[in-house]
Amino acid sequence: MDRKRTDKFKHILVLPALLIFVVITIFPLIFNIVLSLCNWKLGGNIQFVGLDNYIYAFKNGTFWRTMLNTVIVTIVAVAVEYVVAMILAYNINKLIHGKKFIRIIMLLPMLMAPVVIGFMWKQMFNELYGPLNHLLSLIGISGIPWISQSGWSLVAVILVDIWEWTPFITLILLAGFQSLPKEPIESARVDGAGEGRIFFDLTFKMLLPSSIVAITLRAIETFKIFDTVYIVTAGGPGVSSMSASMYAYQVGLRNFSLGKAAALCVIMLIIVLGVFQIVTAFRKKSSKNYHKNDLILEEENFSVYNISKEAEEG
Amino acid sequence: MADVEFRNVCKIYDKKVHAVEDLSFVCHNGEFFAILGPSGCGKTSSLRMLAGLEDISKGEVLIGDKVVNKMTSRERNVAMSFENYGLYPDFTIFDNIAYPLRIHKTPEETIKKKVLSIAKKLHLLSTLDLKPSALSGGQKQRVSIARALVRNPDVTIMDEPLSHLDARMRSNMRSVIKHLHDQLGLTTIYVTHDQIEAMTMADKILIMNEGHKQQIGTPDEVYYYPVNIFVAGFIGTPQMNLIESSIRKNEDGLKAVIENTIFIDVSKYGENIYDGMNVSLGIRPKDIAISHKFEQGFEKGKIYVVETLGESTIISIQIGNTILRVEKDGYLTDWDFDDEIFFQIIPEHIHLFDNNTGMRIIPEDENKNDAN
Repeated sequence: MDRKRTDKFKHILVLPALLIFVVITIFPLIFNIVLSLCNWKLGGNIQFVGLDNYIYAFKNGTFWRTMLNTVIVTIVAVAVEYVVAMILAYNINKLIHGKKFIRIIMLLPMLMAPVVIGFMWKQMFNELYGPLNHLLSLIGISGIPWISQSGWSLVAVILVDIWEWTPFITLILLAGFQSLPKEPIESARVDGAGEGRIFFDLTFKMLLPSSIVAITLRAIETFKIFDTVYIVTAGGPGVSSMSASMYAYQVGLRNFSLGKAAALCVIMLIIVLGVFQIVTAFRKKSSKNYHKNDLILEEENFSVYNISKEAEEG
Repeated sequence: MADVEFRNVCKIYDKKVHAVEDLSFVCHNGEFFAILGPSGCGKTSSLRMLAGLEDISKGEVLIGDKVVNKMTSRERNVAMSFENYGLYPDFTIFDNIAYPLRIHKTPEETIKKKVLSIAKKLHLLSTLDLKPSALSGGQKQRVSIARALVRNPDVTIMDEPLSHLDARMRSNMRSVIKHLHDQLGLTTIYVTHDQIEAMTMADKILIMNEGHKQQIGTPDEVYYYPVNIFVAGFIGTPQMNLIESSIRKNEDGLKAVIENTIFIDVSKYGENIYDGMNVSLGIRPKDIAISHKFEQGFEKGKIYVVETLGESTIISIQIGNTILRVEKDGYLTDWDFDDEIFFQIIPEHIHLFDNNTGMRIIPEDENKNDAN
């Protein structure tokens, strides 16, 4: 009896969180899927149009162009961030003094509002009087069209993302480095392995769990990149640096085709989930002892929430 | 294969903690050399300095004839088995054991042969395809030993390799390690806090306490001629009885007096002791005779507690404030709590230690120049 009552009590305690979850995650998600099957101009009636919005999306060259941009930014930015972060973390971990200080400094880019970062870099990239081109001219490279030429504009977006998020991966890897057991590395040293060999044979493999967490989080976040693109390049020139989520925003909140935008978001959601399934499968294969499922599940909800929210707003 | 020598080696952590102070010893080629001491005595620090995992604060470490202070572990050609195993978590057991061979570019054929042969000796054949996380503590430790023994290093270092094994496996592994040491002709430096391991396996034992060398000697030297009170109390189970005593002169000459009632003949010390000297008298529990009734030269005491171990029985006797432990073979049932007991401390077997210095007083007739 007593046990039953406490069980009920536990459920009551969970209820508020569950309600919030339903209101801000499950409902928008379902609404988003329903909306993607309808035609809804703001102020007008909602019409059911079947898969018309999806047909529109699949035939829409601009959408796939922005999707390609997104994929390029995600792959290049996350790859560069990971490699740079690994080098940084490896060396910071070897420092005896100043680790704490560096860790605080590293947090700064993450503490800044993305809009501030966007405006700061917009000034940096300014082709006429921006500091970046000035510095480059000192070493003989001049007049890089950061924002005004397609190709470079994508590079600019990637650079900002790298600047903003490399410290994040560095911190995760640094935590990973600090929790590595010492003995295997010491025994490898006594066995005669050089530092490089120790890194690739042992350290790198032992860091895989942290690496996968960092890469998964960053890939999902970067796939939804919006703020940087919106402020630094505004997606231009043309749509050459526009991300898929910014395009969905334009369709939904500039052209007020909410149904179409919802369809785009559902497609993005499916892609993210697909990639995520692959990562999960790979992770399960690579390490049996890895128990970060909870964290990843949270992230999954988070991404669903964000994408559906973007379609929902307005 | 090579000699190992420590010359006045010190290890100081953070400029304050003196883990090892002025340690000098030589371990000759082919010797099984045990470093024995309680935890925190600096034995592991000494090993890590030898392996190249810690800087040497002062002094020199030599392997062969070369000073290795500035060499990396790789250049020293030593193998080490760690207390916490130090296995490579992402490798199979086979790859773990094969790793040092692969680093030294051994042909795969030879690697396979060597790994299988060592795995067989250490009962690891069934685990070769598994990863370390699937193994029990004892198996992990054996893998760690196998990995250290698989190549022929100049020096094999073992840091408490048997500490995580159960009693049966431990005694089994003692003989396996000793056998491999002899068979492969290794030079082994073996750290342990377990005196049975040191006594049974080692050719020579270095006993350390609080960073200082206490004694170096063969197992029988440290057992029969302990250089000071620490060694006397540390070596041997049950522990040697160490009793406060003083030297007094009576009509028969000098006697060691215990509790003002027991007078023990110490004539073998001759000139090395004097009237009024404060000493500790050491006597091993085996070297005390007991009897139910009074015999010539026996003293009276009361039984404090009787502990039966099956193969032997330990009887504690109370004399005033002093407890004297006596060990007798066999399972004895004829002694009871609070019974009267008569005992004799056999004078030939006693040790005297100077209370001021803690050092053993050497009997005059002892030709043997104490170990060291």
